[in-house]
Amino acid sequence: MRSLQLRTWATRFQQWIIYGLIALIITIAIAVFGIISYTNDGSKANSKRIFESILWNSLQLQLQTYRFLNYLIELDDSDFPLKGNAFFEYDLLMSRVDLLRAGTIGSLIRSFSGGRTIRALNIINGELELISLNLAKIESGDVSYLPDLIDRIEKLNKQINEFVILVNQGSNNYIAQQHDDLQTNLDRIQLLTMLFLTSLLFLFFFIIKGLAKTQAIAGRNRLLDAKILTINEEKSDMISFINQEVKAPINAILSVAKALTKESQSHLSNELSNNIEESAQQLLSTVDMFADLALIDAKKLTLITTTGNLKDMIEDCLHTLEPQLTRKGLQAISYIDPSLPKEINIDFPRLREIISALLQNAVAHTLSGSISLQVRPSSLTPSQKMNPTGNKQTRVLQIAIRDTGIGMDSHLQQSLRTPSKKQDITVLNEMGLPLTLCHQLVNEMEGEIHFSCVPQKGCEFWVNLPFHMSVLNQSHPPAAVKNMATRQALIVESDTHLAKILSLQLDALNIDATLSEDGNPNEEKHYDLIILGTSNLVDNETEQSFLRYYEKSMPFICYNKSTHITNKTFLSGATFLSTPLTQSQLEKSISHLFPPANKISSTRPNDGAKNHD
Amino acid sequence: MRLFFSLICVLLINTPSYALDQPSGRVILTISNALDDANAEHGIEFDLDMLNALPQRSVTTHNPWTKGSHTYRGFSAKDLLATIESKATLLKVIALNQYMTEIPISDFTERGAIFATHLDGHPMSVRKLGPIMVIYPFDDQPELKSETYYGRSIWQIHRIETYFIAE
Repeated sequence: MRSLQLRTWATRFQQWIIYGLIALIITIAIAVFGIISYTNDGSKANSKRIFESILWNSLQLQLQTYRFLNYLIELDDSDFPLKGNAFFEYDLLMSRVDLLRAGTIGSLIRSFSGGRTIRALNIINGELELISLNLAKIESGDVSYLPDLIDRIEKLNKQINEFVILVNQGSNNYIAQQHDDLQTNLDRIQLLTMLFLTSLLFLFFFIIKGLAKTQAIAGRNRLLDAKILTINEEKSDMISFINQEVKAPINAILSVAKALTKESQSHLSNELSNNIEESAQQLLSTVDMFADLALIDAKKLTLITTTGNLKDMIEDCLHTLEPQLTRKGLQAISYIDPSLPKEINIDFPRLREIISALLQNAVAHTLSGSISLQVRPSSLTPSQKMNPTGNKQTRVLQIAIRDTGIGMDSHLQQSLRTPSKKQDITVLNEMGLPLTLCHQLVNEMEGEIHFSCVPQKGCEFWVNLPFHMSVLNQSHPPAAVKNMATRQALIVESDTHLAKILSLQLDALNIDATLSEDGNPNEEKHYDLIILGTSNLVDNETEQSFLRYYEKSMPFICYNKSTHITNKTFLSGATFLSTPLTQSQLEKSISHLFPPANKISSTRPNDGAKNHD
Repeated sequence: MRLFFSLICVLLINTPSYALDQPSGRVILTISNALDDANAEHGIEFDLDMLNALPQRSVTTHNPWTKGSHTYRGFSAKDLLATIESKATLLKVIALNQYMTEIPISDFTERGAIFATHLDGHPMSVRKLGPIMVIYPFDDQPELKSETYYGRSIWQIHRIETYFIAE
């Protein structure tokens, strides 16, 4: 903000400098024009001519006086009558006096030598006017006035000479003054011209700078325009994407609602209601995902860590997927490593979103088989990025989600390997909404996400996320394990992926599991429990073995009602587990089948068998 | 010197014999052809009436030698030369005090200069810079306010010599 204010102030200052320079240039131009006009004024420009005219006319006065005197001296009897010739000569002389007294020359002479010059000229003029009286007598033929006239003119010569000297001095001073004024004005013009050029240079500099800035701004504006256009296009695409995402659940809700109005049977109504709920949940989840993406995009997502039960949250996530799993005939199983604390500090809603996104992706890419969700401590130590405060109670957990699906196409895999940190419609289109959000959230939570994928065999995602240990919680084995001796179990399951996770679950309950794809038990080995899953390889002989175990009160746990076993007698007392196969469900069943030592007297295994379906 | 070089191209224009009235009054102007020996001394003489008989032109202007604006009336050199059937292109104008200057005919045909014989309606006396004075329309054409035209504004004219300089 402060930098913006400074920049605004600098821009304004620069503008004022430019205005100032323009004003200065105009002022200088006016001043130069004024000085040049003043210097070039007619009277100033003609100072030299006036100077020469004054000198010329004063000298002409002197010359004409001599000529007039000479005319008078050379007059003889043959010249008479004069017929106005004397006055003609007199007028020639007086015209020079008049020229010196009139016009610009006369005005200038008045200023010479403090008025002495004009006084001398006035005396000369007066004397010559007086002479005209004697001249009239001579014109009339009276030559007696001639000697006196000649004498008076000769005496006047001295004054005319003095006048010429005064005019010379005055005009010299005048022209010197004119030269000084001219020089002063030239100096001023020179100074102003330099100022003018300097101002022009500065103005030019600022204009060039301004132009460069304008060009840069124009370029930036073009980029911004293009950006706005792209954003608008992205917005439009995003709206289409949102429309596409929310349309499916809304249509589902609408069609189910329509069917519901027509349906009278209560059990079908319940099913349809469940469908509506599922679609509504899906819609809500989609809206939440968009809201989170918007927050991440605006960098306004705040992670709120709370203390919560990790196992409950994980299993709840799996349960949410139950309708989808059932529809596709998929099995799902979860396993939480018992070494993890029961309660941890993490942003549970975001963690839930990550797990849900990965589970949905797994469901989408799995046509048959199973999906497993494992949560275990990561071998990673929290990095500086994961744990900027250096909190010793910070650990890293790893969430692994694996499916037995068809695998993701290479394009999607490429997008997942090089995800853009910036979310845009292209990324959304390539990765889909859940995975895009998943990536963004993992980044926001300072975690890491990796995956591996084998075509037709499935994919595995694993996410490393830092969490804080809850002070009150330490890892502890499940209640069923307490005081329980190690038992043996046979797992009949052709899906080895599922069977492995199941064996992990059993191991956490202190039960050693033996895997069998065809269900054929090792007659020599003692089993405390048989878990029947999905297997097409169970033959009659195996079924007979199971019957024998049943007759020996061997507990059975079954999680697949549509098992291919033909003789299902031994299943009559079996414990049925529902999809998904959560650890809590198994733990509960086991605790019923093998109650702790202090309860064993009151509960027999077969008595405790309970159908959980 | 300039005149000397100019005269290389000068063609003699004989002042033709023509029927002009003889001056009855005082002769105030004499026109002669400089290269016409026969005519050079006497030339063609004009009195004021003869000059007044030429087409009259007026110029009202300020000038540096008098105060205020004055109206000058007189004749153009073009009309004067037409009267004497001269094809001169340059005039050498001589004043009573023997001051002289050269004026191209173009000053009269293009610049509007006149030979003024009257000042504000009155014949110009010698004392008023007459009897003839060259005056330019300084007010109408400010470019005339220069050394060149001020120098050609000769007064107390009494003699004109004509020259023809080929272009």
